[in-house]
Amino acid sequence: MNIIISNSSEGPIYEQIVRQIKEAILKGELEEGELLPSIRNLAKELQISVITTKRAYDELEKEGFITTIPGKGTYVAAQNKELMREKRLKIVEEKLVEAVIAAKAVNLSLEEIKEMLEILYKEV
Amino acid sequence: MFSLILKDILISKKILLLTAAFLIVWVPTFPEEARNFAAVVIMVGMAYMGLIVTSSADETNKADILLNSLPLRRHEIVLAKYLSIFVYSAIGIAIYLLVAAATKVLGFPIYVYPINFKAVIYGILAVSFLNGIYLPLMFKFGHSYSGIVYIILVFGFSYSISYIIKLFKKLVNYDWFQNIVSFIMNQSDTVKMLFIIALALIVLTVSCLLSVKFYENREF
Amino acid sequence: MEPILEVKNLRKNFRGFTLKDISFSLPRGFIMGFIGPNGAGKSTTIKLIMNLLKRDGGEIKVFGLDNIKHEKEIKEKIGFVYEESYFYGELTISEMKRVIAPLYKNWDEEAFMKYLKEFDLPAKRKIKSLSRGMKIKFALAIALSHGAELLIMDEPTSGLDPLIRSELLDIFSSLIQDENKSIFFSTHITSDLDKVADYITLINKGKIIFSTTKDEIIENYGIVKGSKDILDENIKKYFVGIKENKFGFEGLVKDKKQIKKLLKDTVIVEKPTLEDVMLYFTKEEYRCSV
Repeated sequence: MNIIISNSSEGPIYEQIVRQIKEAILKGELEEGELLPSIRNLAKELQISVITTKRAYDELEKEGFITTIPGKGTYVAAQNKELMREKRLKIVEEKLVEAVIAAKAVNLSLEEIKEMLEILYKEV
Repeated sequence: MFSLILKDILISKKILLLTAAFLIVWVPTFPEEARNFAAVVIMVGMAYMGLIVTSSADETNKADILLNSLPLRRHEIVLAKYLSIFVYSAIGIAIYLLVAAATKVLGFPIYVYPINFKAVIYGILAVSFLNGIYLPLMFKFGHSYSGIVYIILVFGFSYSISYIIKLFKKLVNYDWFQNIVSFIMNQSDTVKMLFIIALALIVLTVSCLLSVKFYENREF
Repeated sequence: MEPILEVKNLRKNFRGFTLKDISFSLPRGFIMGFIGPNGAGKSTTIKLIMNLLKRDGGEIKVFGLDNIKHEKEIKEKIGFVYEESYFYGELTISEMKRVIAPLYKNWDEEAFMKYLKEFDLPAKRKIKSLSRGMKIKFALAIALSHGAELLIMDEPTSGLDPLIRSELLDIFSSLIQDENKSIFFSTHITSDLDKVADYITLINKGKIIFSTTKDEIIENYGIVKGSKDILDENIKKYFVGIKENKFGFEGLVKDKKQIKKLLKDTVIVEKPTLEDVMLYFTKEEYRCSV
């Protein structure tokens, strides 16, 4: 699992962690039942506060991505296939929203956006 | 608490050995009459040097801050100091006895005479009095004035002896005084010795209680 | 669970300086950085916790116990590292240890030896011949070898090069892996705390300015940069402190979301470092209403 923290990005650090772990799970990089590092271990490795990592894990647990078994550790939760797909779609939606906002900021029209999308879809 | 005494010994070991060596060479040169007080000189001298050196180290290293951050009660720190002065004296006596025995066995030309037990008791009294006055001052005002105050005390002590003798000569004219003195003098040596030790203990106890009170109110 | 260190309305009067209304609390398992300019009262506060100074008012509880009534008991479990080495320079490392070890009920000789090795400290060397970094490491070795649950440090990293500082910070993070232990340390090198601290308490001129989580500060406070014509009396109210130069201004706000909504694109808003926070709160020339 890779987690890269950016200090200069606007969002709070815990959100960055939540996002990256979520993506790793949805992409299958982190498998069901896999053991995650403890909040303290993660904090030490990333050189951030334990309070931050705890917040990130709490958030992930709330959204059903991970579960914590007291005394044992934190594991990737069993992902409902339907739910997984829904969550993945949600990520696509979030990214498209970002793109639309960015596009509107430079006054691109819907047609122009669609054109760009087609070209990119074929390239990637 | 014995740790603290060990610390003081570790810090002062060089000076203590040097002082002991000096005393062992000097004391045998005393005239006949003064020989009985060899032990007193050794005990007071060793206690003095030991205290001076450790006070200086305590001052330089701001030891009070270290000691009071460790799990030690303030009265334990005070008590350790009181015990340490007797440890210095005992070391002095022990080394002297060893050297005296060694010179006898090895047949040295210089006669290092043995220590008089009575003198040791007087030594205890002298050390108790001197330090009984000095230590509370040290605990109240800190180590920086130690050296000077102590020297003043030692000299004051020796000078005041002549005054004490004069005082005694005056008091001898009083009946009640004569009665007390003859009562004491008529006791066996053992009782006299016990009396002196009791006196020393009283002085030390009062002094120690004062020191503890002073030290407990100190701030660093 | 009760906090490992709790200070309430602590007060101490000196002739030219008063420490008052000092309150903060540190739970188990976390690191609190205690920051403030020189002379703000950091060392005084630590001395009051260790009962080296007598408090004039308020309460100090360590492990839930009053720090005066249970002084000896508490100090068994406190490891301390001060800015200066108060160990006897004349003694060697092993001699000093021989003096200190018997005073702690739970002395762990194995742990001490392990630290000596890890820190590369020669046992037979006199303490006065050690460099500053080594003296601090020695103090730390002692502090960590008697089962201490709370590590109290007064400017432990000042005067050390970045390499050693980084080593020390690593040791601190490792210590906190045990969620029963906490670290409280004062420093004016705030960059160390940017990495390692969970809580930050800022003290200035004898008073606590704030005591909160580092995240709260980094995420909610903001450095705002823009042109000076934006600054009117109304806007200034939102700022903790402002610094003006020939070409614009820079300032600290407590709520960056609020300022962004207000000023939108006319300003740049960035995350503050703890140094920024400390400066804007304590430097007289920068201060604003807040």
